[in-house]
Amino acid sequence: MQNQASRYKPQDSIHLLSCCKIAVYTRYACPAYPAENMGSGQLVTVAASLICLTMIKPLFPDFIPAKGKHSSYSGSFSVSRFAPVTMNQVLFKKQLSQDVFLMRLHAPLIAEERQAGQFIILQTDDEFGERIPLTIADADTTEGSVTIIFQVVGKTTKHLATFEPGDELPALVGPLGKPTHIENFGKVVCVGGGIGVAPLHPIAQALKKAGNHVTIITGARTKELIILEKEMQAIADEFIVCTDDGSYGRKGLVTAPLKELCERELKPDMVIAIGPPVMMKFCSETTRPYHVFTQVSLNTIMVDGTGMCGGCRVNVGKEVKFVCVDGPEFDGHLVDFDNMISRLNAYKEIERNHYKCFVEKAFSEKEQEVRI
Amino acid sequence: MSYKPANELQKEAQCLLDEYLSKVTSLKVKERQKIPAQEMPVQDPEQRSRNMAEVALGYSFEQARVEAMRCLQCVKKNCMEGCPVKIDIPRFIDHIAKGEFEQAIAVVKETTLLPAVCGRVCPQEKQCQLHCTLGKSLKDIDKSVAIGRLERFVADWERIHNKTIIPAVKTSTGKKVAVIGSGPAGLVAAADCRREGHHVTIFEAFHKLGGVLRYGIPEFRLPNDIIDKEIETLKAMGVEIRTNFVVGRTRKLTDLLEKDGYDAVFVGTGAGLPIFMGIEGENLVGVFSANEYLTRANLMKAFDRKADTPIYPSRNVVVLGGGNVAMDASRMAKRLGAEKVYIVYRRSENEMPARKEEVLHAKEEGVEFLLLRNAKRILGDEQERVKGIVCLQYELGEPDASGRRSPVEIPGSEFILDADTVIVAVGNGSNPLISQTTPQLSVSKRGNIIVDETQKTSMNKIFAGGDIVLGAATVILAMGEGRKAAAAINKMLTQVHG
Ligand SMILES: Cc1cc2nc3c(=O)[nH]c(=O)nc-3n(C[C@H](O)[C@H](O)[C@H](O)COP(=O)(O)OP(=O)(O)OC[C@H]3O[C@@H](n4cnc5c(N)ncnc54)[C@H](O)[C@@H]3O)c2cc1C
Ligand code: FES
Repeated sequence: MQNQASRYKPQDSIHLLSCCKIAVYTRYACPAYPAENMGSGQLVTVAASLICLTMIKPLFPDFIPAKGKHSSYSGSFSVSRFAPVTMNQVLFKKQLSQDVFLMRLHAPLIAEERQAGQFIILQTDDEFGERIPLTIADADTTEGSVTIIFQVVGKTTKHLATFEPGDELPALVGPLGKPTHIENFGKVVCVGGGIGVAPLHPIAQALKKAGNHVTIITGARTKELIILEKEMQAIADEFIVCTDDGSYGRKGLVTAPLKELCERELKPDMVIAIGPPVMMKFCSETTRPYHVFTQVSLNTIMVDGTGMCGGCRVNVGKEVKFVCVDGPEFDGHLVDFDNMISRLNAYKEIERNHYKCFVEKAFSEKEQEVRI
Repeated sequence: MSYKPANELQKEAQCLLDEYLSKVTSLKVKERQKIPAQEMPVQDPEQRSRNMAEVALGYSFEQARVEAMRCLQCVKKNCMEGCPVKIDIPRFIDHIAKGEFEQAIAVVKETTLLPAVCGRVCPQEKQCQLHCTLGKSLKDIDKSVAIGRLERFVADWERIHNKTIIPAVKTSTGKKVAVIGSGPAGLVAAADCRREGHHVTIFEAFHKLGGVLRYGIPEFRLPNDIIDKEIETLKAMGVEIRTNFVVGRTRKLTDLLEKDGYDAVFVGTGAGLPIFMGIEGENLVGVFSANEYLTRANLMKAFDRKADTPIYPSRNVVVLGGGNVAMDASRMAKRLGAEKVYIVYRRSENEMPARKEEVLHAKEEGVEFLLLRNAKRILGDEQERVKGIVCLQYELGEPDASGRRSPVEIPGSEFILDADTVIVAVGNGSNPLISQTTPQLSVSKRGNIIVDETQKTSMNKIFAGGDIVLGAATVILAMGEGRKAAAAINKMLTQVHG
């Protein structure tokens, strides 16, 4: 198991010779303090280090760096496509919508162990960066990769989005959390809101495989933000799309079709809702009068992800639970969402500043580059 | 005690040294008793409560020698009784008195591996220094020979002068040992197994090594350089390091043995499960476990403006608890800009489990101690943010099972403290991750792994030590257990081998 790092992956033309990578890290002092937009359920904040790329030209006169990248410069400007894949390397990257990205990361051990419902924690900088949890959207044991889908909502995700195939993440740990309990429940409704569709995908897949009748409701603010539509449709026995603004599918919130399903004669045996906290709260409220068991997947603030700090704690019924080890999935009818949402906002202001600082820095960086 | 800067202390020591140097080997007991105890030079309290640099600056060369001359060189070495790893204390101190620092550190290293750490964090006043004959004869434990400071002195001397010797590693045995966790227990077990020529891999959940030494104990008490140096030594010995690896999740414990070819495993995963008080309001925004608060500040460097990990901006901080963890959290809060920091502790100062020096330093830095008080309820505003804490007053009653006089609530003594932050530092349980994912492993009711006298667990080839066995204990005890386990592993592997 130790030698994954030196495995050769000739088939993937995007791998770049890592020894030719040059990265000059520069750190910027940000006027400290807090962030924004954690609302979408992804706990994401942002990184302090920008990576600046200068001084390359004299060494490699033919090498033309791609403008505006903040990650290490990597160029296939030399010899071989047969470069070794190193741990945590970005293998593939795709932009799904304006702020949403999909990445496949080389992490063979995590790929092998992970089960639906689990997450990873990563850092875009292991000196000054923060640790952010992201759910594993998919895994491929042959390739030895895990897929993450993330929305740029703060500094770390902004930084993460600048990583290109060939770049390595400084830290990636997982799989964390308890896997989803999968069995044949009968009729299951999977509700995914915004980026929550990503973690829902492997769960829906597993539920389908276990023999369930799977209804999928996916919702987003607007058409542009609907992700994995084809993939979800392929799994679903029944598929419903909603957008808040009516630009695609039904106009309105996911709770409307959910309520209708609960009112059917054969109401669902179980509901799984993953998305922004507010969405999960209202899905739970919707199903409560019908006594339909509703499972939610919480994405609280985390630090270690191993149960050591308690920063991720939530009230579930009368108990205090640690999301990273006892969860991330809980009975939505027992979760104290209001407290969870307050706790998610603890650092909003600091994080907003970090984000602003990062974006401004990146901007002036770009300007400088243009001048050079 | 008025504040004396380091250079003044050094000058005074120089005069004393001039006086005693000629008779270093012939000092009479009476003379030794008269030598003034050497004060530890520290950063000015005003200044240090606003920076992260180490508080205690360490003895100067002169001070160390003068302090060492105070040692009575008893034939019956009582101090050794108090040392969990039985360092030959009088012998190493004698070398310091004579200025033979290289020999001194060699003596220390015969039995301990992390003297620069232990010299700084051991509760000496409850261990070696408690038994010191000099202290007893002067009827003041504070006048005992400053054994810990001398230990730190020689360890620092070795590091600063680049005299660290990389321990010799025997020829490869082809056996593989997995060490889980890189706290003091794991680091020591790794070094000792590697010395015998086994391939050793340390698996650590975090992105950095050191365990509590890194994420818990702050820079101002234990600089990271010291841990880095120990890790460099391990790397130089050829120990393999896998960070970002959670055993139980990334790989099952048993898989290491069954699939990955390890011949033995040492589990040193520490305590690492924060205990909360279970009072109303504990989930409000602004309530943290000390683990979280300190991890953000230390490991994630939230004290640094470059860091992304945010730390809660606080004005009035209440820290619940009276151990080292509470002292560290309170002093950290001060450094992060809090105006008022209170320690709320149920018993009196005598019962505080924290090192005496830390209590003193906290007071000097302006932390206020509210003793015989306990938190009852945390109050929040409409945004669910902490706005105060309701406390009760206590008085001391009869001694309890631990021999400490147990506090009794005074009825009707409720009062409210204004606070925006509450840090809970009332202890750590054992992290259940390994035991939950390894059901065959026997653990106690409290979740501690059960071991025999060689540190072997209920499972073959699996050993454990440190806080995961002892419950939240001390660095030196964790180290001792790491050593003991390594010895048993080495023995087991040679037997299998040969
Ligand atoms: C704030 C604070 C201050 C303290 N001050 C003092 C003091 O002044 N003096 C003193 O003597 N003691 C002090 N202690 C106690 C002392 O630090 C501990 O007793 C000691 O560190 C225990 O060592 P350990 O090796 O058993 O575990 P730890 O130091 O806890 O290390 C365990 C390591 O294992 C890792 N780990 C856990 N689970 C896994 C897993 N599943 N897979 C991989 N890795 C894992 C953890 O991340 C951690 O790095 C203090 C403790 C704290 C928290
Ligand atoms: S993230 Fe620290 S305990 Fe869950």
